[in-house]
Amino acid sequence: MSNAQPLSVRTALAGRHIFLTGGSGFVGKVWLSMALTHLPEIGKIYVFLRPKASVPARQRFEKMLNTSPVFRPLHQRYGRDLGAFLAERVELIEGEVTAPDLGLAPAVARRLRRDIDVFIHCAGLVDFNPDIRKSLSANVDATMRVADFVESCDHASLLHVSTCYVAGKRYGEIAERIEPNYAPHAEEFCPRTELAEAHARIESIVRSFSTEDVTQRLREEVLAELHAQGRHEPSAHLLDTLTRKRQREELKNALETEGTERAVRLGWHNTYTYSKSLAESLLLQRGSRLRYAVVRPSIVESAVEFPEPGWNESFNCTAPLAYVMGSWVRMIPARPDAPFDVIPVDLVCRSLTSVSAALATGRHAQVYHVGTSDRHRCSVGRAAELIVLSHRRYLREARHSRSERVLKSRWDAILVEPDTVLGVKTSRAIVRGYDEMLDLMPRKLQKKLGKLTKRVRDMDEDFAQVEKLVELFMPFMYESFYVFKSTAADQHPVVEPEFDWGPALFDWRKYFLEIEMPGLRRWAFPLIEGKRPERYRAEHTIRLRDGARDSDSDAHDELRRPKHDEASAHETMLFSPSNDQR
Amino acid sequence: MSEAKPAVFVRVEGVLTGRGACGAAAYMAANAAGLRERVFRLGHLALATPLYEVLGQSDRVLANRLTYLALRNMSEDRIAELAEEYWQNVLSHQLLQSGVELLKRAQRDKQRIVLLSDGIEEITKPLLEKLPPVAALLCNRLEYRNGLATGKLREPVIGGHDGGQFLAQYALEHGIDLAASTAYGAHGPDVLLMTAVGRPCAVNPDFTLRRAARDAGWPVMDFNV
Repeated sequence: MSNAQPLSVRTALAGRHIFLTGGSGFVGKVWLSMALTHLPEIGKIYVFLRPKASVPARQRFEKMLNTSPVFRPLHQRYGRDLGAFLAERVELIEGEVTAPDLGLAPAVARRLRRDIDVFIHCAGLVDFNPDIRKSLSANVDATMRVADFVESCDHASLLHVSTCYVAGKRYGEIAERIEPNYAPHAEEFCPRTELAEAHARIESIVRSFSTEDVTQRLREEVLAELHAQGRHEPSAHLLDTLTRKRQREELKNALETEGTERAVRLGWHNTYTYSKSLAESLLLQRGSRLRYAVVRPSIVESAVEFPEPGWNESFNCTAPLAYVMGSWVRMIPARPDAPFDVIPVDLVCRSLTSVSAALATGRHAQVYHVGTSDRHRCSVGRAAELIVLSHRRYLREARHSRSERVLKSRWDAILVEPDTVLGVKTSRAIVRGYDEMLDLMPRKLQKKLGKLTKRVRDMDEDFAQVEKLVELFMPFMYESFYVFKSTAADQHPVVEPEFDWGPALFDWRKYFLEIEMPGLRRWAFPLIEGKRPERYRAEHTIRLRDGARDSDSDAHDELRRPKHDEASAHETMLFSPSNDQR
Repeated sequence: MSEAKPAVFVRVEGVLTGRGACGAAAYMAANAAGLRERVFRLGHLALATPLYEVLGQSDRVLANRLTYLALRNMSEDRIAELAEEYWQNVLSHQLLQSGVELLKRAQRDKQRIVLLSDGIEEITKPLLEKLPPVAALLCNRLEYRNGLATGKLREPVIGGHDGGQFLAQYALEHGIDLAASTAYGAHGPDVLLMTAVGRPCAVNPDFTLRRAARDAGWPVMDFNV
């Protein structure tokens, strides 16, 4: 838009205080490292982490700093001085995002209310169909707690990270706005009522699994299984343990099913997008009390440039499909002309920085789509072709076996209709047919055919996994056709090119062949294969110390309390360089 | 007024490489996406290749058009990738060093070098890295729509008797002294190209050009390395 006033990110964020949740996640880590690398002007970044089980937040953060390749640029730039650098720029805040006041100590909360300019809420649960309790807690309740806190601040704005796919099963062009009381398939919908009903249903399911009848049934099932294994007199302790374990598993399955069914009934694809949409709707209801912007990334994938080309930690998006397309499974149900909306993680992070600048200067829009389907479209067909070509390129390397170089490299996956004759379902049925045939053979022959039987069973398992995967991704690869309009950022074009996140900054062919696929092979495929990706250890290990800010006597008093005092559990921590050398 | 300078015009197929357009098209057809596509495309080429041999003696434009029709609906991405493979695995090993030496000689003589090729841009461009700097490369270009090859070649289609017309136009635009220029041709359709210059030379000529060279008294070079 030629009349739009340019926005200087550096000027807008100079001296500002940014609060970040989700700093240990894929996007949050990259944003943190990027901001520290490219924005020395920022006043302070508060990194919010909660302790996990027996691991305090401080330890989690130290480990992250010292072992995540995301922070390699910082280690390379500052070396031993990184600790001192971080001590000036970063403060670790321990708390609980689902608790009132985020579980912060009162003095800490007071100080933050005074100081925060932009609150980037990046934390959430990205699993597609988890236990609905976890999804609502992480994606809805937590967001409301964050919003409550931001509202109570002196001058903070909220940047809420959502997802484009809150649109659900309504296809075509999706505008950058939050529709009031939105549910794709429900004519009358109230998010508050839905949330209350969901919680009530959860309680009902949990109660149902605590009844004597259910416990007895599960006990009998466990006993029958133990008997089948030849354990006719299991101890009471073993029986109780296994029964409780079975109870938890069945409850989890029931709650996962509940989430999925609610989501699908209302018109979303899965629990994740349902919960993110609920959160947006509830934010909208706060009206002018809350100053906020919502950033909706599409499918977040490998970095173009930062922290390094190909960096990727998200293995529940393209990675599983890309992996399968390099296997012997050929036919992938997908719609070739549909947009394949992926966006590199560093461009998402640039958008978070730019939108933060817009929020800080009051120039923000309500919603920003951060994707490629609008202005730099890559179709599903093209993405699939490039993934296949990448596999071909890789398999033709000399280090692979002859069959891989000659045969498998040419065994291209192709896109087909879901009901195609030789699709995954049919292939699996054929393999199962073989398996059943082998079972019917005399034992002597079965023994001789042991290797073949194992191979057939492995193939059946592979196909089963592929079937599940295809089912999970069918909504995005075949059923849907989204174009996420991305024009909000035109209102404030950024001055500095290093914060520009226009998707046309990269070429698709180069991206898939030289960045995304090599990145997936390096970081994601090993995880799919049950292996560990390459490890990174910083040359100079950073350790945190219990610190204090001289200007903040309340916080200082908090920190003086003994470590095991519950009231001081939520402390602020500063950094010091370690004397350790590796 | 600057003096007109001589140039060297070289037909790539036959002088610099041993392979013609069919080889590259066949490689791409054999590596199309999916077995069915491979069968159809190779089938097309199996029918087109004899025509290429026949038509290629007189007018290669139609022969080239028919050959590249086999790439219809192949993605630009796949063509680019297979072209790179073809260059690395096949063509780079078919480079005729004797032909390269001819170009190096032209470079030493400070002559402008112009290459003409029946091949498509994706296959021919990598060749430039192995050669002395050339002033121009005239080759065929595939037409793409929405990322897919239409099977058509963009105008002008190289391979026919255009060599002579092209030469005249090029000489006018760049101040070339055709009488002092050299043309290395390899195929029947190169006759017009070679008659336009003062120093024609047939290199590894096919039957038609060999006979024409003999009749016209042009030098003939045969080499296969």
